[in-house]
Amino acid sequence: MGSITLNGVSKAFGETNVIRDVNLTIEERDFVVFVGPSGSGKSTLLRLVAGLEDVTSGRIEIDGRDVTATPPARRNLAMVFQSYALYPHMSVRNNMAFGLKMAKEDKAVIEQKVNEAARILELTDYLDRRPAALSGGQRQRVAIGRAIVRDPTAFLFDEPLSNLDAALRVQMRLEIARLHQALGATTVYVTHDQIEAMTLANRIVVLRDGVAEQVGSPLALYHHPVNRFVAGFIGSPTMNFLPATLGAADDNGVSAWVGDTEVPVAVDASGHEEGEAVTLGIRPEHLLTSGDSGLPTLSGEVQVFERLGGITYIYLRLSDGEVLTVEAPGDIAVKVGDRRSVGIDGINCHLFAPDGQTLPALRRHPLATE
Amino acid sequence: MVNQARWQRVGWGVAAWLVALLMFFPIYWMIMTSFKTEAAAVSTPPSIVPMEPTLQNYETVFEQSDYFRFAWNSVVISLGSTMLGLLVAVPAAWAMAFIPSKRTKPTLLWMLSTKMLPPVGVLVPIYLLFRDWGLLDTLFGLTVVLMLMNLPIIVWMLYTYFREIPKDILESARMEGAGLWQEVVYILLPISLGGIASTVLLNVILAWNESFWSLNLTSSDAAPLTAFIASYTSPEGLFWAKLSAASTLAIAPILILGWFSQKQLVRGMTFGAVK
Ligand SMILES: Nc1ncnc2c1ncn2[C@@H]1O[C@H](COP(=O)(O)OP(=O)(O)OP(=O)(O)O)[C@@H](O)[C@H]1O
Ligand SMILES: [Mg+2]
Repeated sequence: MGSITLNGVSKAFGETNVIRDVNLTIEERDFVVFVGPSGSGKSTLLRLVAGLEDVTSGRIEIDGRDVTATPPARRNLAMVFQSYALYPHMSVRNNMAFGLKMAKEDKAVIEQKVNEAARILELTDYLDRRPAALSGGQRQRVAIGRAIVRDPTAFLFDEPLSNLDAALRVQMRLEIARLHQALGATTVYVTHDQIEAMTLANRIVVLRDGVAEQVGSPLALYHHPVNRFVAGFIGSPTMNFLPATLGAADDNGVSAWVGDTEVPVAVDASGHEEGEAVTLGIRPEHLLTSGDSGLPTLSGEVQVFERLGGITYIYLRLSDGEVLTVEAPGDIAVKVGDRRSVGIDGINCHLFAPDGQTLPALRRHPLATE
Repeated sequence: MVNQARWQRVGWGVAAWLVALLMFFPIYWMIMTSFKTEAAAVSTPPSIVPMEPTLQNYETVFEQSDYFRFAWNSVVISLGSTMLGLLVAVPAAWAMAFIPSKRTKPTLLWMLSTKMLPPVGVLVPIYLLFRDWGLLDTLFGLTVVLMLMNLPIIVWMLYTYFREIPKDILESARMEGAGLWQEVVYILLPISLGGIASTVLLNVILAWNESFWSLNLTSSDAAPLTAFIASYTSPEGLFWAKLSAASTLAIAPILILGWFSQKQLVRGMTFGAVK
């Protein structure tokens, strides 16, 4: 119970195509996260699954049943809105009971389910209050409680934590993870937040302009992004992109020249010529600031640095004007204007063809399951 | 500075009182006149309060005509036309607020603009239709006409209230298994209860005070209080004191209603613009 299949789903508002031919299979018990820049169609895709919008073309199935034309009320999905969307004129108890009442559940059963959900979410003391008399975090929990009492086929979340402060966000994130573990219900979750996406998902869908650019496990997206867009979108701070030139290729990969530095990268460059212009990508956390590692180095001038306590971000201006973000230890000695070298390990580098596609890695990262 | 702000407040207060008095004066005058003798009512200089207050006018009015029948007609027509209007306007406003299209705004403006036309423009066609359909001087006929006349205002007001309701809330109910009917009854109407109350009040008052259609489409059976007042103007010449008594009786119910629902009314008349 709880599989969702999207088959060639497209959605246009008037002339604008907002979702373009999305194919996606969400398995039972999956926690799928939609990420993407603002306006990429995350909410729209979720609302298509919910039935709140009609598809322009394509098919949606829930548990193998075609629901493309089924109204939201009969899809048995629960949705948690960014605005919480609590019923302002009802008590917390009635907010949570509404769906069960609509389903004509027995009074005693409703009572028991609502109390149980309130207990899990620590809302017992607030059951008789109106939403207006609750804090943001409590409202959020009511919205979640309203979803779980119904025992739906799947949960849909649209940026549920974005209105909470940082500490509460972490707490609720753990709560949602715990609930998913306990209930094992299929969940589709939309977020802007990198950490939410990486920690909650077992599969992430990266959307750009309504196109699903890549679908995969968080670490698959982190280690093996299929194109430059995904590479830049997953990970924070974002990956460094440097112009490079392809050098000689052999069985172990290909070398890439960044200025005068030769970096051997373990990717399959077949179909590409020596001398071709490519982009080399390396994440800030993969650049090495510690002394002589025998690795190729890039050097530049420290433009700015930011100390976060545990780590320091150094922004290094290379001789060709590119600025490199480097993650360094928290206590590193650094001054603006310093000249520094950073080691660059080809094992952590990605190469992108001019069209943005990633040159395929020769070996998969051991943790990067599909 | 503090002083200046204070004086400003006092100034506004005085101005507001002056305007209020100015507006209330005719009503005051009418009520006072209704307690005067006919002679005192026309005497110059007029007296601010009746010298020898009398209930004679009221007695005459009750003797001469059946106040309660007119009042009952007014109640039926104003409540009836408002309820009937709600029945039509709730779905219309719901559609306009929650599934707007390119033509929603123009439609609304067009509906409202019909209120700007003088009703006399459609008097003849409506009169002829009513005559042919046997609706002249019936409560039903007048109720329907007043409903139609006030419909643009009801729709517009409900629309502005509905539009303030976040769509998410209705969608949430939809996700939870509520059908259209349940969504309207359990969510939309309770949430907009305040707005609906204002709308109902304003429209009851508008219908109560309406005279053009009631004078033209009714004669006796379905005549409401506005027709009742009018009957005191012509045949026996002008009797100011009795006319005032009749008028006072006619506006008393609505005045009391208005007094007890001032807050709702003000809210209603700002058309949901402020909260
Ligand atoms: N009802 C609508 N009518 C017309 N265009 C719409 C409608 N809803 C969404 N869009 C457009 O569709 C695109 C995708 O919107 P959507 O809300 O799905 O983005 P999103 O990825 O959720 O963005 P955000 O992260 O800002 O929430 C946007 O360009 C938006 O303007
Ligand atoms: Mg969104």
